[in-house]
Amino acid sequence: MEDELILRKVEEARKKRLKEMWSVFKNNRMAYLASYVLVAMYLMALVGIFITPYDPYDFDLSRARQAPSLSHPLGTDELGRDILSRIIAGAKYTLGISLMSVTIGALIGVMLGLISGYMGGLVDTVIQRAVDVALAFPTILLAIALIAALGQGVVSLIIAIAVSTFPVYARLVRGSVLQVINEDYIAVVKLLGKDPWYIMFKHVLPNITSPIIVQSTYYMGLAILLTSSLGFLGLGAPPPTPEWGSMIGSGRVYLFSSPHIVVSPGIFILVTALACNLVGDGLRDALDPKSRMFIRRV
Amino acid sequence: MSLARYLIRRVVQVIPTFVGALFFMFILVRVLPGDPARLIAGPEALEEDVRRIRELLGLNKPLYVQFVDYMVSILRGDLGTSLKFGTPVINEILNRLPYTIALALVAESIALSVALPLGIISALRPRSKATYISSVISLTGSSVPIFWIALIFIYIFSVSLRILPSSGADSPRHIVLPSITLSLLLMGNLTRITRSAVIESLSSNHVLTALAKGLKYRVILIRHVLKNALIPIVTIMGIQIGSLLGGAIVTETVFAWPGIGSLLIDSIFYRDYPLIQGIILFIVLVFIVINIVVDVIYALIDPRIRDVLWRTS
Repeated sequence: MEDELILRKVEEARKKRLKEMWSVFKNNRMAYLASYVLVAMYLMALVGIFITPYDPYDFDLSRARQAPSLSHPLGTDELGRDILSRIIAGAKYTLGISLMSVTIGALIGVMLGLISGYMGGLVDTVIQRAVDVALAFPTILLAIALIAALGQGVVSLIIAIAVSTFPVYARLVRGSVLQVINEDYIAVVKLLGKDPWYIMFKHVLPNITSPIIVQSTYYMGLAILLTSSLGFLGLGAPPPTPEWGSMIGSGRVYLFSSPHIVVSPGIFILVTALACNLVGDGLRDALDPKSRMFIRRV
Repeated sequence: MSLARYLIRRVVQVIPTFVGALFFMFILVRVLPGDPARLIAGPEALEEDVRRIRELLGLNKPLYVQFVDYMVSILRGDLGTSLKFGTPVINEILNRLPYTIALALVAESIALSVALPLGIISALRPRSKATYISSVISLTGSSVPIFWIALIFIYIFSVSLRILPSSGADSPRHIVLPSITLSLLLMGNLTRITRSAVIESLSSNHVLTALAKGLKYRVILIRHVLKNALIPIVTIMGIQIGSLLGGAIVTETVFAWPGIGSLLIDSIFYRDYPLIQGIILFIVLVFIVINIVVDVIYALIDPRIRDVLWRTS
């Protein structure tokens, strides 16, 4: 009877807190607007291939490099393909690759950070030295090194970006674990003799989700820039994939005569990355105002 | 005395990191691509020839012996021979290095000359235009794809206005566009950190004391506020070296600037593995060394750390 009452109170408090967070987030106009932009972009990535006005791969040199017009709102590229259709179809690649690699990087990093912070001792030292090595490479350089070794392709691109993002998660999570590990409730479950893995996932992890969520939002923006930069350099998604960065990379030769080929994919990259950063700012203020000093945009 | 000891301690601390980076590159270059001997000999080579190449390169030795050999040769400054140029890798890197250093220095100066005044003004006058501009710059810095903004700059200044060259490094004017592009990557964070450092410094006790003593506002600003704000600014500059080096790879490629960043991308397309590996290790080493230098500068300007150093000596 009493237990039920406590549980209900806890549930009520939780709902209240979520409501408060939501209202703080909603009050940040830019972040709120940006969250809609982000949802729209991901919807486009999800259903893109069904709503393109033209076939994004269908080339016809007779209509190559046409300036924007009514029939081709963003013009056509160097092979006569409709740029709007390619951007819509390409969202799947740019955003999909970024989402996959940040997810994998976060999973690995959170796992290592949890183990490192909770276990301490030799395990901690070994993991942190490995993280040191990864952090000794500038982010894009680590990705380039991996792609040079693994060969070009979507899979190695995802691996490369995931490996470049995990070390920061490992550091962040380890720091957060060390903050909560001395709390009374952890000491209690430890005394109850629970399995360390159970404690890590059931009691430590739920208390440190805020910084992880905020960091991941910023990292989505970074991953979008990385994916498209590598695509632009010719190390990312191979042609004829309509990945946004690759589109700019293959169109840049015609910059002098047909700038429209590179302009519009770039605007989509910019808007999506900007939306990630704005939503990240909003989430940070709503979920974890204390962290302002520690979690930065990258 | 104490500073020298501090320096030695920091260098000793990074040795495991550097050995780890070497090990990582060793795995990437020697183990992942499969059999390097077969790669060099070609697919039609006889098993006999492949075996001879393997012995010649020491690939038949156990892996840990190979790693030690590899480490020793790198410590002697021998990064191997470029497959494309046929010259020592270290020579190719040193030839291109001055261009990257020049680009990085000019970009950092541009970023500082915008970020410092803007950060300070926006801290002193909240809700002014400066605050608004600095938040826009800060967001732009972390959201703009720099390869794209580089192309936009080329279109505006080289194609339309025809006032600046778009590629190469033949005259001082050639550095303008690449360095402005690269500086955009640094400016945002630098402005934001300057602003928050000045705000924090303004509300600190010793500034209040100086105000209470009736010192001139200008004197307080320069002698107390800005001097204190310098510490976080130097720290963020150290952290940004990574973005600077990474951004240089993309920027140099777009503007055909002949530094080590564009050399790296070229060498990937030539599959010039010794050169790729040499440049990556070189950048990592530079990154590590600059971070130590920043730590030392940091220790020198932060009186709290400096005092601890003197006392422990």
